[in-house]
Amino acid sequence: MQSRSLCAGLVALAGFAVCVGATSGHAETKKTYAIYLSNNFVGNDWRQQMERVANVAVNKGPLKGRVDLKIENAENTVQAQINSLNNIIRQKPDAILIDASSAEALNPTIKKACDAGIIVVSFDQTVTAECAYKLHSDFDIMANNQAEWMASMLGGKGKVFMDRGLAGAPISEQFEKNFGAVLKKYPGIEIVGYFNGNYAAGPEQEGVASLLAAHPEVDGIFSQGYGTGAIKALQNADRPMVPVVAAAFNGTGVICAETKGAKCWLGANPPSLSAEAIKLAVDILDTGKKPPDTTVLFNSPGLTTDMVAAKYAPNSSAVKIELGKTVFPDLAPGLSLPVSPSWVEITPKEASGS
Amino acid sequence: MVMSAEQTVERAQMPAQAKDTRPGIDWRGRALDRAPFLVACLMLALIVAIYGSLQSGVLSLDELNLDTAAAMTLMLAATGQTIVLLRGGIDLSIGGMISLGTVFAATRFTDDPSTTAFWALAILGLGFLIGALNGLLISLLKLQPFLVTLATWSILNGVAMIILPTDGGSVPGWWVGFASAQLLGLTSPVWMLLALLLFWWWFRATRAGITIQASGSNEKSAFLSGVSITRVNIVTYGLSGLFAAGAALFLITQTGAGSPTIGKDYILPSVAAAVIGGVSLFGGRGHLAGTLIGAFVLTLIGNLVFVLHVSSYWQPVASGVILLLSVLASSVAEKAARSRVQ
Repeated sequence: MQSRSLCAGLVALAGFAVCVGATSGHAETKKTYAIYLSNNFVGNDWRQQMERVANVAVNKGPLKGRVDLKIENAENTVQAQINSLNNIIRQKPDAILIDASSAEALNPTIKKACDAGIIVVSFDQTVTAECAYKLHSDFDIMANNQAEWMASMLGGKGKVFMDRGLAGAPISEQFEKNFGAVLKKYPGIEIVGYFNGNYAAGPEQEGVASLLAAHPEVDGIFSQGYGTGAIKALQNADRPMVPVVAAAFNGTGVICAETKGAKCWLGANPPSLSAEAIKLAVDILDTGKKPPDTTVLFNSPGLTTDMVAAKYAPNSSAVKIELGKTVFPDLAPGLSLPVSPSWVEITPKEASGS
Repeated sequence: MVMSAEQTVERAQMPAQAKDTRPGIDWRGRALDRAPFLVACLMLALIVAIYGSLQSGVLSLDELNLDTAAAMTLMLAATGQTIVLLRGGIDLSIGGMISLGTVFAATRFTDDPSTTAFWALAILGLGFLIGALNGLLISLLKLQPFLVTLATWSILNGVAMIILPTDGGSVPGWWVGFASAQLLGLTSPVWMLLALLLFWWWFRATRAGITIQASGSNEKSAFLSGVSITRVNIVTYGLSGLFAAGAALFLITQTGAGSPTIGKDYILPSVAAAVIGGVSLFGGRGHLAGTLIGAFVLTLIGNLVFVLHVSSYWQPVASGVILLLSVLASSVAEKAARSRVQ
């Protein structure tokens, strides 16, 4: 028994020496945390980029050497994610990050993790468990800024088309409600038609095209999805480009930059939320200080062709759409923007995995 | 010709008795007959051995408690499926029933134990009724069980969505706590596992158990010996619905909330667990113990993939390979059984 603990002591000492050696430039040695990322779905570009960015973020910048990150994918079922989380909890990591299969159904398992002293940060698809942090994009602010930009571009007057997203999806209603709340302040702006873009370019193009037939004199288009369908529909109908708000995909940004006269504001829900979640966990573990509220809203800068003054929400920012700098014609159109958080330099290639 | 109940039972039991009492017993045939079950046991032993060599404390009560809790929803769903498979059918509607059960529980359960108990019983009753309806439709319309239960799955799923469009609702804390309640160091899921085995030991000797198995093995001869096929179907699918409802009630101890879509995750695994455990898809042959071992195998593969530190996509790959091996073992046994009959 004694010899075993002596052994353990020696191993720990050796580990410590290695740590000191590796970070000898720093004033203090910081701990390396064991962190698991439990993801329930990898079937789309966003989730894949999210995992890539997480892996890159712990290997450079301020988190380099600070995190031993392991990613566990549970194959899209609640039971699989519960079982996977139970396995993770037994490893007693310092923190677990969760992109959840259900807002509710993981709660009893998450409570077990919290009770075991593990920091739990849910992000993107968050959970409702009281003890878990909930980190997600602030879609209210995103929609507000999109609508304020549109109002500013239109000078408070004009006819617009409105995307209702996917029928019945809570996020679609949230956007429509926020768009509407802003437009109410501008009586000169009239919504002349609604379409269901379904977060896909095809339905969006179809919806806008049929609205254009009835209302050719449109001045602006609200898309909840790619926005490229709206731009194509305008081109096909030989209409001049009008301001378009949409989501921040690389393909959309490139088309906004390359199409003559295109004016865009792209709201961002970046996959680098995974890196933000890691950073949140490390900050809590380092300082022992917990955020005042378990809900942590993330407000990513928008991307736009026209940096006009408008009544944006406080603490909002935007970056200009520039080929090769903020949008990348040689990378996949499905890449979500911006590719990197502000506190670490993740290259577009690293984010796209190419 | 009208037969009494006792006569029916005797006739139905005859093949089984004949097998055991025949002089100069065909030991090779019997070994082959049990091959699928033995293969499942072997697989479980192998997985536990590998798992145990990589993770400390695998052969402990804690591990048993944890893994049984992880597997219990599947075990309950697969118990119902086993009864249906023995009858020679299949029940896809359990997916809808499990979803609907969790949705009812999450929206109706209250902190008041008597209200909750009432709704728990109501959910179980509903499960049996819906299952019985499946059985009735299959008999009356002379339709494939696959099609009838596919349709009821869709209907139940829709109803669950109408009641609770997204995951939500809640169940009282003490209901969630049930899954970790302990007696003599064993948590309630382990006691449930033992109860399932006891149930089976009792059930397979009952008239219903015997007639289900007999009519799955040879429907025509069962019918000729006076078994009411309609009644057998009602009981078979009714029990499947009942166990699916039970699975839902256990599942919410794990999730603490209702989900209108969660049930679909148990449909094919419930069939896979039974097949891995040696239950024949052609009816008449198999044992619940095999199914429960199959459910353990499917659950432990996930743990194994976790401790091996390989990509979690190996889990479905491993499940598929194991399923193939089991089907192979079953088919060998099936052929052996058939050649013995001829």
